[in-house]
Amino acid sequence: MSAWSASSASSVSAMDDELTRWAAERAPKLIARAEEQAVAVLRDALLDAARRARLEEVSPVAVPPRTASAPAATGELVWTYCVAGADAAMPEDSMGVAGSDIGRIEAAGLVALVSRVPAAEFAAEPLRENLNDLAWLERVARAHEAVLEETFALTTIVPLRMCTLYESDEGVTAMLQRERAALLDALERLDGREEWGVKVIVDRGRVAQAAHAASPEAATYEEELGERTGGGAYILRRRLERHVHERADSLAAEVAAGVHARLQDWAIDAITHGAQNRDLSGHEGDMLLNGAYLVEADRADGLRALVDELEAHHRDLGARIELTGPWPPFNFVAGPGA
Amino acid sequence: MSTTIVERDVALIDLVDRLLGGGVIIAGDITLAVADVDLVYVGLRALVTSVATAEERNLLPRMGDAT
Repeated sequence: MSAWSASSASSVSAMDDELTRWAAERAPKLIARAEEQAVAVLRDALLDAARRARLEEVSPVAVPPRTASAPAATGELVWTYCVAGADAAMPEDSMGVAGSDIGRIEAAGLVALVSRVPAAEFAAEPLRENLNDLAWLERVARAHEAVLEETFALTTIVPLRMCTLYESDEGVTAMLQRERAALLDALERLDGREEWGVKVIVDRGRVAQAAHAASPEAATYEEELGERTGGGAYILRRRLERHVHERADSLAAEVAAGVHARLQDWAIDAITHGAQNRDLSGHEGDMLLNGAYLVEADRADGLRALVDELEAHHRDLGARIELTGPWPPFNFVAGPGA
Repeated sequence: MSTTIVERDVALIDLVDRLLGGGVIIAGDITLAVADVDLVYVGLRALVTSVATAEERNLLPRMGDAT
């Protein structure tokens, strides 16, 4: 109380400064956020308008969109799933994308798994339309993945990016011949290995609590806070919040780096991606790590044990570590020649 | 102890991240460009966010309210 009255004049201006600074700090974030939202809304509107314009272009008279595919889109295209060694076992009687049969095209000591799909649905133009249809996307993605997983259970594969299509079998043959060296390299490197996904999700509040508890500065702030009221207390509290916020950010980064380092040591190869969009993934909490790890298939049990250990280690942060897999090595096949 | 999600219970977003974001990129007669993949995400987000999301969840710190 005495400290406050003795320095009230300077404290008031200090508070103004503090508030101004606080607002100035927040403003860019708020503006950026608002802009981001505005851009997203605009983009969606443009996308929608472009889509509609394109549909009208194809069919000036209002026709149901699904039947309005470009005139060139007739016949069939060759959908590709993956490449394996020519002597590799392949799944039998599986169903592929769009209810198709699975076929094999062999060349250059390699085999590509393929399906014949209707051009009306998969030619460039209708394909882009269809990719924006959630139900279509999900159906095709799951069908594609099912074929990959069945094959992957039998043999080493190089998964191709979804929607790599050819106009004819010859196109696939030429690709196998052209990419032979890189594909063989990849097959050798991936032999007996599989990909696992690891996501670390923490409770932001618990991270802040832990950061708070571990910070001597926070304790000092609190001591001071006990002696103040009014504007002085407000400023101090804001400072404390900012301090804890920063500490929580660094703690989160440390945890992510620590978990990744342990997994990386253990894996043959590793890669991290940005956190998934919360709206799309539906995760609760902060995603600190979104990584993929290439591991020897016969060591997968060890990976589970390690993940359990790491999760237990960070239990005070409300940490959940999600392990998904085994996946075909999607994240460990760079472009050809890489 | 870990929430182990294995195989069959794969979220669409995990699938899309891998199938469209991963896999070897080889020139086909039809191949998705980066922009096409981005548009898929934009489309997905548009669909999901149209179900009105609670915004600003992470914007302001909640700490200190209790002290």
